[in-house]
Amino acid sequence: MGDVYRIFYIHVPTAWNGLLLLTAAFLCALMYLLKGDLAWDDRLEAAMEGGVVLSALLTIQGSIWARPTWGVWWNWDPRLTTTAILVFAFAGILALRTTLKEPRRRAMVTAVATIVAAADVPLVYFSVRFWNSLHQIQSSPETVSGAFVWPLRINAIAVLILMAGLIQLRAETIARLREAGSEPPPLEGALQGAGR
Amino acid sequence: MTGEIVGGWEYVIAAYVISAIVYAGYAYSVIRRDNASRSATKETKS
Repeated sequence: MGDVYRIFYIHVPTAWNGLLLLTAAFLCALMYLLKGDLAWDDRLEAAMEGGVVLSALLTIQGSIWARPTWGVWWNWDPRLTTTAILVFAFAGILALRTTLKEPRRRAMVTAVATIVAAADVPLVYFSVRFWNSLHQIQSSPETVSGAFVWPLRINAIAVLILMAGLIQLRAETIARLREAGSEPPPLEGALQGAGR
Repeated sequence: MTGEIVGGWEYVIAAYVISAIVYAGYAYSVIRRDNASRSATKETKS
């Protein structure tokens, strides 16, 4: 592979954490629908924002990797295509949120859209197995050389700690701004409120 | 032909520099927005 294999040490942890954050956004969407607590919507937005940043970075890192290894910056390969869809779908949801001012309506629309968009997360992960792909199979301790395992784990944990701190802070900021604005009275559950 | 890619350090450097900029930029953005929201809510209360 030569020296370019070093990109692997930042590309793979970015991928793992990006998909993890978008999965967290999906779980927050489910929790909002079940509990109707706007704190879950705050966490959802924070996790989704971090997930979109990492997924966009992942695409850029992948493109830099692709040029010396595949000879092109971009290819409509299943892994790359599903990742691009992921970035645009979740970035679209974040953009959609800015157009909705009423917190309960915004949270409900976001939760439903997030659950729909999250269907692409397993597609991204398994795309290299479902279809013939230029991209190598998923990187995990079972599929990479033993020498790669610990550096990858350390980098992944470092990114996870950084992103967990940033997302916690971001969720607090979103909650503070929401509480400073006009908030409707709490409901037993968001699904009950949806019919009103 | 060994299949090994010769060179490529410029791609490695580019990937690490861009990643550092994105991570640092996002961290700065989150902290800046948090500080702005604290100031805004303090002004609203006073």
